[in-house]
Amino acid sequence: MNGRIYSVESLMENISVAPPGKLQAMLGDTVRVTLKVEYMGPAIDGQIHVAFGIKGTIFNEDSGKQATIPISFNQENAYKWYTFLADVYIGGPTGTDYDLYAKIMSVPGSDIFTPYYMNMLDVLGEPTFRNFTITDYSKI
Amino acid sequence: MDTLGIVVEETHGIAAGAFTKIVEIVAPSSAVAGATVAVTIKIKNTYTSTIGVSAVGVRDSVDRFIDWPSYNIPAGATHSFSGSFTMPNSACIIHAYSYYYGTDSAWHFDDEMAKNVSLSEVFEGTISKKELEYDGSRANIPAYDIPENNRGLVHIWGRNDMSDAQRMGIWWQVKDPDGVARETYAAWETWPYTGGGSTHEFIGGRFDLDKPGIWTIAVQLFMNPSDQVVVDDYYGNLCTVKSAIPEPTFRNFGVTDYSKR
Repeated sequence: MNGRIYSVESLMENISVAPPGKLQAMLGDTVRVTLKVEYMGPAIDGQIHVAFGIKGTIFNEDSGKQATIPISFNQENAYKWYTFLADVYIGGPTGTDYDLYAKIMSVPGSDIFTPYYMNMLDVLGEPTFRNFTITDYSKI
Repeated sequence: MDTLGIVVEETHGIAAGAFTKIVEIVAPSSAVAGATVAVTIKIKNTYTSTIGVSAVGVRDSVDRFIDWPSYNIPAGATHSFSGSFTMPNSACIIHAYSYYYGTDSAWHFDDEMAKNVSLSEVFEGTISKKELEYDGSRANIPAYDIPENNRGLVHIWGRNDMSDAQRMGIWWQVKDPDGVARETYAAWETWPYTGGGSTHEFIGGRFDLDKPGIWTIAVQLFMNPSDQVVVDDYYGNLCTVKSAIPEPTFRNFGVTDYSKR
């Protein structure tokens, strides 16, 4: 938990739609994030920005683990569910307990944020080997 | 008239109506000057066999508008003879006469009837303005692109086109795009009535413009409450209502899944 203690209330506040548990990825992987939102209004275009990072007082995005995708909504006179997929390339530093959030931006009004999803990703380094030698041999 | 071939033995001294009976004069009891007054004279053969019958219709002994048409009417049957005249600038009397064709090859007067036609006053008025009020705004009818879910209110002005004051009445019905009546309004104006050349505004009740599409209205303007006369009317579109598009609104934005590709 990266030294942080969360109350049940704070967890419930931050997570309204619970994705599956923690994911382990390696540098160079791509993580596909599925997002849903209900929309009502005129036909508009916008963007979704998805980022892994560490949430403190603010959410410190990791510039190597984020993506921005274009989105479009049709004219809807009542709420309608929309689903979007965002592929996030995992670069930057390794680490554990990365948090996740996304926002809809470039639409009329202020940006729309998901809850913050805490401790969702561990990023391991690429497998490395060294000192590969034969140290002995004998009859068995 | 000699083509009929059906004759009746002439009986001297026979009373009018011996072989025929004028059953009815079908005509309006009143008409405005200059109007075409349609008249039908119904004559019944009261004899025991077919006879040749002719009819005459005269207005005020001046205008013979049914001028001796003839017909072989079977025994007991009734035949209609029709014609019309132009209503004069005064009341008039319609005189109807029936004749039968005798064995002497002559027509003989048989029955008569009369009917009065009074002169109707000509009422003249005009629907001079039509407006739709909605959301604090007004637009002439037919109005266009009214946002959905406003409250509508119809205003109709009737103008008295006569020289003296008249009491005007109104009736209208608003229908939504599905043809469902949404507002029906009827009223006679109260005293003092509208003077010659002046207008009176009728205001209906409010109704919800809650369906996109074409709304219609039927309007009739009346005068003369005791024998009401439609002096003007309008049947057409009230307005078009456009869908209300809500402001962009989002809810329940969240991540539902994520996985390595």
